[in-house]
Amino acid sequence: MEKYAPTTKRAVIVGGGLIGVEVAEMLLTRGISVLFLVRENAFWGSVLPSDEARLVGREIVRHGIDMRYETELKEILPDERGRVRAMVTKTGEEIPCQMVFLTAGVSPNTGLAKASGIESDRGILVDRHFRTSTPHVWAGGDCAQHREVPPGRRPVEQVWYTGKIHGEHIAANICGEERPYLPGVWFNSAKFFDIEYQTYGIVLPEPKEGEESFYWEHPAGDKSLRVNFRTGSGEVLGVNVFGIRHRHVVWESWIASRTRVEDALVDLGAANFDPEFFRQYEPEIVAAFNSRYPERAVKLNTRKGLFSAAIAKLLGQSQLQTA
Amino acid sequence: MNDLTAGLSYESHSLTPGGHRLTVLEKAGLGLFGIGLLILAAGLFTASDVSSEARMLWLGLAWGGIAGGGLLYGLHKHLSERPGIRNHGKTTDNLTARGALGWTLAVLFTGFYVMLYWFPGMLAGLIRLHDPLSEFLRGKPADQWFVYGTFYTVGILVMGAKAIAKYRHSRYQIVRTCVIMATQLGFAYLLPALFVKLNQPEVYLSYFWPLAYDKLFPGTLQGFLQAGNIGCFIVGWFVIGTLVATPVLTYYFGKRWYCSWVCGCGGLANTFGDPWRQNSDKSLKAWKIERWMIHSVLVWIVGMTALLWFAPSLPEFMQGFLQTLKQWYGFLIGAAFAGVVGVGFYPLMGTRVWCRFGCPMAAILGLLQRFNSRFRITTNGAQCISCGNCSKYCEMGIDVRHYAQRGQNIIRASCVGCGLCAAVCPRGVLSLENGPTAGRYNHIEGISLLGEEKSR
Repeated sequence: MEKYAPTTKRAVIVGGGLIGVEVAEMLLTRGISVLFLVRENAFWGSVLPSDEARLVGREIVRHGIDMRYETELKEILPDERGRVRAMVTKTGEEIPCQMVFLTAGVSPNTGLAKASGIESDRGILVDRHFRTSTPHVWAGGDCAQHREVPPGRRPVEQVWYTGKIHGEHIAANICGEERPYLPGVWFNSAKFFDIEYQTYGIVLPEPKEGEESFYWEHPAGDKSLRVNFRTGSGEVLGVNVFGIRHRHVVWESWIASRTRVEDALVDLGAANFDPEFFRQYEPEIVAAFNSRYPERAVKLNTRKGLFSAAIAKLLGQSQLQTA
Repeated sequence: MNDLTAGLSYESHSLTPGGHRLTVLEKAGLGLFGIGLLILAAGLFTASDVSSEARMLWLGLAWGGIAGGGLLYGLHKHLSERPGIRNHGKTTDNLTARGALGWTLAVLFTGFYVMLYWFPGMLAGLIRLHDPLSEFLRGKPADQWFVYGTFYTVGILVMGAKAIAKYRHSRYQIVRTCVIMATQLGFAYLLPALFVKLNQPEVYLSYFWPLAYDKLFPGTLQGFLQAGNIGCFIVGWFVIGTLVATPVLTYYFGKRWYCSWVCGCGGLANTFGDPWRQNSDKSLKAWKIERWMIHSVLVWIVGMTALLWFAPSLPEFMQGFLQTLKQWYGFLIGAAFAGVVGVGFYPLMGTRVWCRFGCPMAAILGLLQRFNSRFRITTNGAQCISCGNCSKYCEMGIDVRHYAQRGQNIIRASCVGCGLCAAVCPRGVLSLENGPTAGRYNHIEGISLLGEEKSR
């Protein structure tokens, strides 16, 4: 890529997801203009709710990238040396470019496993101990597919940290320990140009039946927070935060202990992990929540940081557990 | 791609827009800056011969060019980009990644310090050029230390403004840099000048013992006490600063209250030196050398200060030995280490060579921070992706990532709390926090760190 960068004026990225954004950032540092083709009508629409997808889309455009939604690649045209000259969209538009990146996603390469007679579906099928159908053969990471899908997880987990945990489990199990895979609360993070994203628990693009979804966005459109909770009981199910850093242990504990959304919002300061002197948005978030759910209205009372009572409680618990 | 072509491609992107392409305004800024420097250089040879009015004019043009050009370049460079961390060219740029330009600057800086400390006569013209400013601020002609203070203060102010533009997405960095700039200008430049003008001792209230190694020497304190009420205030200030403020503030906020908010050495490192902060050595070996060196200096200065207080009751031969010890400390540590190496080696070894390997004040603050403080850098659960930006940008050579990957809090004697690791982290993993000392080490152990169930 570095070799071709100096002669590339425009590059096209096909597929709106995390890898596409990383490629786009890299290309911009080399002074290459970028055209981003996304099949859906919003960025990373298979994962993000539409509000957040739009927020990220705006950030991408702010950095000078040409975003084209609902546009797909039809073919890539070569020049006489066999290098990329242009690409054609499904609507027939021909766009001159010197590089094309296909970033549609990751899929397990099961060729070797299938040829060896190891049971596979989308990925290589494994039990809770990462054993495949063939004795002494184990699979983990991006290529593995859980036969019993752990609650709140996907059958194929394609995140680096789950791969690391899979590997640790496989090593333990090979060494004779019986260590089943019992993943805790889901989490993930990313950075889209200058906007950081964290998620804890489950937030689907559309809330499921019996779920409420509360969304707050800063008027500047570069910070947001979404909390999903169960209708009625109010237990928190998941959170998406953009542009504000939140504390892993706090949300994990709230989600695992089925904390009510009201109780979480009262202590929202405890979840704030932004550096000192940063503006805090908890009062605005809670005010927005109260106006949307007057029957659940709460009063914010926890300040940020390790002095907060909510964190002290959590840390106290963790020390008991350690002891 | 083999190694040869990999090397070539790196070469190529310092030419293509890999790094930062200079705009017309930035070129103009650098031009102005260069003209200002040239006038200063010309002053070296001519200023002794011209009138005071002429010197005032040329001095104004020189510093106007340096400050104006530096600001034009520095502010335009960062304000033309969106707020946020940009790593472009950090590891490949000739100036900041130990290329020929970096080495040239290191030689120039070192040469300047050698002249300043041991051959000030070579700077005579430059010193005479500063007479009008010194007369105005201090009521007497300039000396080499006034010239040095002017360089130092302009460096912190201009590069501080650039640092604020560069890190303007972080309010911690904005507030901290403003305080550094104000402290330098007020406590380390204007106030000492005012003291001189009022015929009081020239005193730098922001430098405490043992960084300012003679501040608690009996002779120094006696000198201050002879200066009347202001002298008593100064003595009180330094005694309280060392014995009370240091342990109390370090207990509540960590070493950073001094090293990253007050100290001029840290101030210069975090403003003027910011482009080179990533060049610090992160190896385990460097850490071992650091601990031996910094604590040796600490033992030397503490022992020497104590002996000086008992000097009257010491035998004759000890007196001579003590004087020699004092002279060697001044030469080796006070001048050669803190000045020549400390700043001269910025472009090669990163910005905190002195703070990390030599400063006895940093050693004391470090021990307090390590063993008796509420400060720590918290790691946010298991969100670390091992990108290494935190370690790369750590000016103290701490391998921050090592801790972040393991979900451990970072509690290191050397951490000056500049906050850059938290600023450059792309996943919101690090935060500088003050909190209860219970569970300060590794407080998240026991919580399902890696997404595993707690029952295990």
